Amino acid sequence: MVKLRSAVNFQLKAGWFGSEQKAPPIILKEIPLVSFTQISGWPDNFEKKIQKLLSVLGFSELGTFSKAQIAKEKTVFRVGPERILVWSSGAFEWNTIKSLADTNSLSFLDLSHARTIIQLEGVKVPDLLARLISVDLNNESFPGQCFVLTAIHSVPVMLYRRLDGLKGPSFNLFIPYTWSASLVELICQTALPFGYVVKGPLPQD
Amino acid sequence: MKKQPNRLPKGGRIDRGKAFSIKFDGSNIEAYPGDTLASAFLANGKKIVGRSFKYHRPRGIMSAGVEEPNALVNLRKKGRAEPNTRATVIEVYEGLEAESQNCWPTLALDFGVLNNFFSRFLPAGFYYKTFMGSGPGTSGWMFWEKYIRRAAGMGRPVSELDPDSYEKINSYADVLVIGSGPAGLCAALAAGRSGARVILAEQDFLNGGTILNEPCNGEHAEWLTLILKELTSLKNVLLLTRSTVFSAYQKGVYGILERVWDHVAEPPPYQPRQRFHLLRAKTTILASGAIEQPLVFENNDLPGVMLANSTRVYLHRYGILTGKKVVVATNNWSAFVTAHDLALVGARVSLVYSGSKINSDVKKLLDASGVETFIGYSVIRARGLRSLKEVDIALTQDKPHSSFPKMITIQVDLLAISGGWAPNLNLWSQLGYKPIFNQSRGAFFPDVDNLENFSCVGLVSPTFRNKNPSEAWFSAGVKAANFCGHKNNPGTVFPIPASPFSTTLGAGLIRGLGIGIHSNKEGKAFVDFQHDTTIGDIDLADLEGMRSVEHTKRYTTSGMATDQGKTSNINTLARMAELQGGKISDIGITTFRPPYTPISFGAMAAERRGKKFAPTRVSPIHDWHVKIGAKFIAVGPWQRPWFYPAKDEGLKEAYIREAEHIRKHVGLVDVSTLGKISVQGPDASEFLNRVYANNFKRLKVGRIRYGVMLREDGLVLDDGTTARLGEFDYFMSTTTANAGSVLSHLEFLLQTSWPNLKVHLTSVTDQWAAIAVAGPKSRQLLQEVTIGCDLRSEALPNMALTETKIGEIPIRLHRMSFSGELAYEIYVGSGWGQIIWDKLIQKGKSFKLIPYGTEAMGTLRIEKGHVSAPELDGRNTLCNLGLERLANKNKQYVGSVLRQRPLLNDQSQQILVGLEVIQKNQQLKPGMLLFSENTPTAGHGEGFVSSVTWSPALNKFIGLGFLIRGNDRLGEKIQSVDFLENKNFSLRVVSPHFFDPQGERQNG
Repeated sequence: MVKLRSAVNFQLKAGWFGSEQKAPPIILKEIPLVSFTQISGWPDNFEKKIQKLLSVLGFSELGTFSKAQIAKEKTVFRVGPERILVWSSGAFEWNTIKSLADTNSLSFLDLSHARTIIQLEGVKVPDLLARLISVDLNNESFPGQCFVLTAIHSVPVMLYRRLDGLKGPSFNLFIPYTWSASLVELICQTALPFGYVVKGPLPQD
Repeated sequence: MKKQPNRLPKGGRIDRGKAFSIKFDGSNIEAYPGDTLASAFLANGKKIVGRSFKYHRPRGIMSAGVEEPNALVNLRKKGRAEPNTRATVIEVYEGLEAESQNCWPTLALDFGVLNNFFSRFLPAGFYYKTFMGSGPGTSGWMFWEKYIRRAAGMGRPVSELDPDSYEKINSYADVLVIGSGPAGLCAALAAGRSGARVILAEQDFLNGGTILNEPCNGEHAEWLTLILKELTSLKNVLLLTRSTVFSAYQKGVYGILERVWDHVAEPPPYQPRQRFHLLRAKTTILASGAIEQPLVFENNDLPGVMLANSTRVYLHRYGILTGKKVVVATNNWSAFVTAHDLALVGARVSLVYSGSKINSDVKKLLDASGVETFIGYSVIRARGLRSLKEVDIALTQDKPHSSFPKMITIQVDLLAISGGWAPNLNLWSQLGYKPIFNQSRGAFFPDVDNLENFSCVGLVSPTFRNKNPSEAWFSAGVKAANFCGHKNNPGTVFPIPASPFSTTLGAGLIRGLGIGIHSNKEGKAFVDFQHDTTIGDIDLADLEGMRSVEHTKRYTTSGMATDQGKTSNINTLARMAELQGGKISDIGITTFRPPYTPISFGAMAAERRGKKFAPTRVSPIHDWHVKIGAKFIAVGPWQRPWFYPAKDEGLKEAYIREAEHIRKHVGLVDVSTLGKISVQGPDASEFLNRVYANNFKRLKVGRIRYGVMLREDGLVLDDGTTARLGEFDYFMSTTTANAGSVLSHLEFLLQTSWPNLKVHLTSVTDQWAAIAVAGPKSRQLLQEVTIGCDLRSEALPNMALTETKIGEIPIRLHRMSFSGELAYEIYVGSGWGQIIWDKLIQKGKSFKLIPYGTEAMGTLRIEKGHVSAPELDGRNTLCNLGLERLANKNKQYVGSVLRQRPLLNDQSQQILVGLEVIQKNQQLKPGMLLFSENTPTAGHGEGFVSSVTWSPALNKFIGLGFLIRGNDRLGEKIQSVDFLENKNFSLRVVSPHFFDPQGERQNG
């Protein structure tokens, strides 16, 4: 399959930017979306149908509206009462899964091009994000596996806190593809006082 | 002149080893790190530092804090200049430059002082009475306003760009403690020890509050060091200095301005000058202290008259003796310690106390220090031309008098006054609460009894006289932490050392009022120093019927300046009560509003300026457009390629070339910006049938239909196409401009009107790049690049779709036309959009393919008579747009009832028509008004031009417009008028379908 073209090629050039510290307090990199699918249903039988489908995918439960579920290379975000997003960081054959599902009760929508994922890692990342979004990212109120639908500069984004990485707190920011160039510029500008390192960009065909 | 003549040889929290120069009005002044600009002025004996607002009277430093009404200066130069900054809170730094303001030509010699001599003619209400209604209508005011504004006081902003950055941050806390005086520190420590997340915000650059007014080497200083050490060690406590909580809102939301790098000439690289915290706290402890109030007497604004406690601040914190011959005049006990301390360092001090007795222990201390006491006396007037020389005192026995036959005159260079203290309750008041006036203490206090997440400690609390204040402060912190669920053992209280005067740290502070003892009407006795409001102005307002405090405030402007009445409100209220024969509690108090102290526009805007004012949205193919040199146009947040200039082409040459080329060959236009909505679910067709005016139930899988949506009122909301991708799966496209509003409209209907419909709506605008391929050679091109796809009309007719591939990349091909040409739209995943575009450009060379922009696209659609955003402006009906035939009469849909209103279907209203210029080079403009041929061109006309273009196909300017009875006027000659540019063209009314009206090209 042809690799996807990054929307932030010009914004994320590898290097160290802004204040220089002994160790980079913030590391930014784009990670490939690969597979991102919305599955939705309706109140009468959504829970039942989706649980069945998710068990096939290896998930033991559906999760809450703020805590993602992880199984193998896949992560499920429950973003609405009858709506989930399934993100797979590895190649994924949805047609197989669809064939298992009751398409009268569940709708599948491929969104694998619709987001840019920026991974932010480092001790100062919560401080950086505090300048961009109005969510309390304190360890107690927003621990690993938590996610939130919020906004940066009025643009809707989804923030997902991964289990902390070696370099400190680690987050994935899902940004709508067509907004991502502008928002990544803003993120980089906001990160200048801390100093940040860009790992990347994504390899292109 | 000796440097720093008023600086004592030792003492103060300053670094005497690092003296440097700062500049004021071009002159060098020596200062130490730890000084404020005001303390540097005082250390160097500078008495006049500003001119008053209205009368341009010389003014000196009055206070040592944020309440300063007089010492306003213009700080820094060029883009960094900031007017109206208070010298008392400006932390000095090497290279600091400040200038006086509101004076001309110099601070020492200000011609504006002439106002002082004509002050009899400039009383409160002068501008209202003199200039409003001085001419017909508002003309008089409009004439005078510019002169009045020019003459108005205060500083002036600069127009240069501020080179510094500012930032905004979201902060969170369990407990917000406002103020780091002893009460705030104790409360923060208790809350922190209990495990709560605490933010302690202090507006000063040092923590300590009133502790900093004590000698810097005593037991209070030691207490401060210890408690700060522990607080700093707690990871859950954040100490924010240089941080003013300037606004308070419901639900624990606060605005805090942190002056991160205001104390240096230029912030370090990448660092913000200021930071705006939007703080959300679960509970709040207000420990904001109290502000000393002035006494009101004749010439109480002379340089050399200061608030009593401020002179003590300058003594102990900055090591400055602000006067050698001092009168301390007070109506309360708090100033006794000031008299005592000034006398101890060698000043000759007279204490003038209007009360009847002094505690015997305190009297002994005063006597021992050499303070001369006048009990039952008050200051009647101050004398001096440019600064204080003498004060007249008289035996008043704490009662107001109009004349005093026996007065004593004392030679002085400093008059330290205290008219009582006002608890600093502004933030609490900003929450919308009304404070309660405590008659015995002569002050307003917050009423926090019924608030579970807000408490007050220290001087702002009505219970501040508690015998063991530290315990009360500590328990407030514990209670706040417990409220948030943090119940760790808080340990024992940190007891504050007792003071022999029991004043600055607790008892006896708030007593009496500064009003009641004042002069007769001969001289000026100021109530509001910053706005030059005198006691006479308050009296005049009362005489003219201003009984409400809100009226008096606005009529006299007392309390309306940048200091927000911090030293004037109470005295104004007291005088009003006196005049009305009532109590202050009957008068009430005005509402405090944010900001508590002035904040910069830079901090409020933060990163939202310049390019970052609003985020932009770009197509997945944007980088290619940039690389090729396209010119862009903003369409809402989108940046769209407007035209692709060849060599030196301008817009007109480029779009005409592009449009002409498409009619002959083939072109690509990036239409990724169109709104795209996925409509999924078993009831999707029913849903679409209800939202579109035309029928959607019978749309087959693989087919596309043009549709028009109405609002509930029957007017057109938007148009677009919807493709049926599967049994329960539709793909709707909207105009770029209306994408957001259409999705909101549909979601609203789904959630409120038809919650039982099994439909999900999802924006897929970001998922899909869209490329329109238009022109007679488009089919040939696509046939060559796609794999195994039959594009013949029989296989893929107009308004049908198919799925295919270009190379390895899957695409969806919609056959549809906006240009009127044979055309297709390619939908491909955004991440592949540019790859497909590149392939088309490459393969298209042999077909003479070019990219074209939105301007040429507009040309093609106008030639075809397709409506777009200029026509779909929210004011038109189906009838206006000539689309009434689309409306299905056999079903109900949104707007179907109200669109039947007779007026909305009246053919005599404005109807969409085509417009051709008679003389082909006359350039039509959108917005031109339309008139019949031989009628006078006045008023709103009979219609207007909505869209225009040069038509390569017709070789003339054409346009779309709305004209009364348009359908009946085809062929008629009319006028179009541009009143702004004084142009009048002759037009012919024609069908809006200029080009290929039968659709042979697009259907071929």
